Amino acid sequence: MKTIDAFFLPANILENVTEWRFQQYEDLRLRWPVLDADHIKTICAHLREQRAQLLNTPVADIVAAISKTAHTLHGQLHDIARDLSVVTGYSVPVVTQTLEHMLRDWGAASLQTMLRAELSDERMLDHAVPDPVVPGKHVAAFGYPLALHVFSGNVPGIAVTSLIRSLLAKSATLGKTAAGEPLLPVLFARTLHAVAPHIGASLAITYWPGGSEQLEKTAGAEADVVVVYGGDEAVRAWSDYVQPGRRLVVHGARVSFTVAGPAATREDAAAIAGAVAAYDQQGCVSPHVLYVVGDFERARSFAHDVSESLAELAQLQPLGRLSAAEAVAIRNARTAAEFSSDADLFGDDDAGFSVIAERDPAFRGSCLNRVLYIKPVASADDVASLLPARDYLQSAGLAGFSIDDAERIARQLGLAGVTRVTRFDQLPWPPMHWHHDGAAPMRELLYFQDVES
Amino acid sequence: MTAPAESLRKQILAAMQRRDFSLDDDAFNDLALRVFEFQFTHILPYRKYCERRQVQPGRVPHWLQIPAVPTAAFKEAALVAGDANAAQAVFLTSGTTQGQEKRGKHHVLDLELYDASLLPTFARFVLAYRKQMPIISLVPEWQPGGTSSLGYMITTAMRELGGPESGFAVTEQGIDYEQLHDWLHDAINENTPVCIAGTSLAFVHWFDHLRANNLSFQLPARSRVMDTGGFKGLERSISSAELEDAYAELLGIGSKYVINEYGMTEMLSQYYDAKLPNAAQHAPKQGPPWVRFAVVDATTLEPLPPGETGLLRHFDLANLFSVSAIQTEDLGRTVEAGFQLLGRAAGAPPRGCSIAMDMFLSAVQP
Repeated sequence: MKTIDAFFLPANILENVTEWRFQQYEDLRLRWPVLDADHIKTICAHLREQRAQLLNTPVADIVAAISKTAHTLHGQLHDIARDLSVVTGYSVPVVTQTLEHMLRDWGAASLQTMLRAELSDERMLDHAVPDPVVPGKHVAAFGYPLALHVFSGNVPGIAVTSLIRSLLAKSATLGKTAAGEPLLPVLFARTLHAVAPHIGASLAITYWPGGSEQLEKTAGAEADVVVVYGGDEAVRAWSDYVQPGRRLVVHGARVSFTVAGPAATREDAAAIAGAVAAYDQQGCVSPHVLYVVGDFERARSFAHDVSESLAELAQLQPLGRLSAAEAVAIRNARTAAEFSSDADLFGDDDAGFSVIAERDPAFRGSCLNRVLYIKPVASADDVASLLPARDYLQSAGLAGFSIDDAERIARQLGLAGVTRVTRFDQLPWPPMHWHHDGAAPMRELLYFQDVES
Repeated sequence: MTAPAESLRKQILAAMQRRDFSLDDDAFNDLALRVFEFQFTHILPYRKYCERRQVQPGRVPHWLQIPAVPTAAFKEAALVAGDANAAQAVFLTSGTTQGQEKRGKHHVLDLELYDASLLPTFARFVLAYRKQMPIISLVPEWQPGGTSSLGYMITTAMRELGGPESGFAVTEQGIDYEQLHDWLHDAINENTPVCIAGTSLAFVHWFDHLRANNLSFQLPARSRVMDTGGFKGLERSISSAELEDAYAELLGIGSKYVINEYGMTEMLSQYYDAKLPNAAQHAPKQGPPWVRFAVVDATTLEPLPPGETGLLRHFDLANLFSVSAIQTEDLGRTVEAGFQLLGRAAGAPPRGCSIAMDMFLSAVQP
């Protein structure tokens, strides 16, 4: 039995801990201290002190330290993927693929591009720089002293990306991990601390059960900025804890979809299969539906091609462990398709995926875990009117359109609320510099200072 | 009806009418395999379902190997061995509060088979073989054309087993408290035990009313409750322990006489808490011998050993003219002499940052 300390906390906190929480996963056990509100206050005070070192570090050095951390983690990829697989339930190849993409995102080149895309000159995080547009004006960017990041879900890496942005903003940061993936943020913090102690000391990471009111009230009141990932319910609870006037950044749950145009090919079918298999379709950028321009026959033919690719992927990157409720949800989706006269089901009971060709073009939320709906539309111009409420839309994948058509459709989808349009194969892998949920995620963590001449 | 079907029906009816309430495993298996052959031949969507899984009659030696249809199938297709238009009743599954979801349909060609199953089962598990007991229903009376399978069941039990003091304490507006309380006072005055039957939710609403008006009853000894159903998708929920306390506090009915029924629209036979006549703590659910269950792994659908939690699957001979092998979404585990019901395996929240189907339905509602 291996026990991993799934927290990264200042040593003086642990001296005062009398109770521990354990979570068992197969042959692995995670351990956390049971904290009270006073612990949280002490942690926050400690972090505020540590921030002085972060403020004295040029952003270029922070980028270099993070990049080196990613490189070190890459060297341990095999072991990390194995442990993350046990904890999250994703298969080892699925975790490995996700980690490889994420670790690339955390490299120096990717981080620099992100900073430049959002700030034009990242040195404004160190000192005021000339405004590129307004002559004589200088601009500096400051992070808030203490940030609280509250994570959810179990897609590995999303939490770490969030912590990285916070470090680049030079905010000391308390991260509350999600029950579904409480491990990688801690491994990141620990490795960063080994690489660059003066930077790593500005992080504290731990887990407590979501909804622990005293802890969350205290943490929410202490923080100068709060970043919350999660569903409507969690977001509502946290918004009550944030001090009036302070910033709350929310990344709610969202859905994505794809549209195959007249020129879409067998390769495009394979690419969408990849997007469905990536982290078992659990991400906000994972497609629920593929709209195929054409008739039901073309949708069926696409469904056949997608299911062949998903069958291959089921061997290479198997579907993860399912809860009983997930298994039931999949079976219900399959049963509905199998017994309906207006749908066709592809994929056997034990295939580890389901592709459902359906005549009804209405958008349908998938139960996920590699269940894709494929629906015909007479014209791609119809798609925007079929989508659900804009608040829940994320990305759209397009393939098989002329440039002119793609631009027109992207415009329609943008008006409907879609914040990202991309290729099928890129759908699950938004770059570090993306406008996450249509916002500028780095800028959201900052306030700007104009220095006028 | 074809001659083989008629003969099969007669044998099933005979099994239900046996006074010793028994049917040995071999006899059950033999009937189940013949029922499968009949249903495979006469229910085209079921036949396709079996053929897709390469199972056909004559190739399976045991009823557990007969493909079980997930209850969701009843929402999509008429699973009926004969003319759906000739159904004597069409029972519908309850919708959720969202009202968006399709409702499952059970076309019942032969209500006599339903009666033959439900009456001895009710007599055995709820009345514990008392000849008659007034049944007071919180569920509306079933009328021809009615779609509530529970309504039909209680109406039939009341007619055949309830005696003249029975009645429906419901109007179109809901429970008729005045009528209900009158009957209960009568029962107390005459010291006649009664059986009150209804959904758990109806009891909860009634109890809210009793508490609000500072009312309670001390019903005659051996009075009992038959409750059923959970609180899925409903605005009011309560734990079964709280409910049990309320039965004792507000009606004077101890847990020995609170019989929870487990049934479903898609299946004509029912299971009950096997508490009477000799109460067992944590009584398991038991059914009549013509319905059998298994607990299977939620993903692989392979049977699980006793004690392990999985999904309940049933094979109900009373479903002769629909599908007998039913795969449910209900969690349970096999215990000695029956099973324990552990809730529903539904409404899985997504593990990542996407939105799953159920949440999505509520999310996009105006």
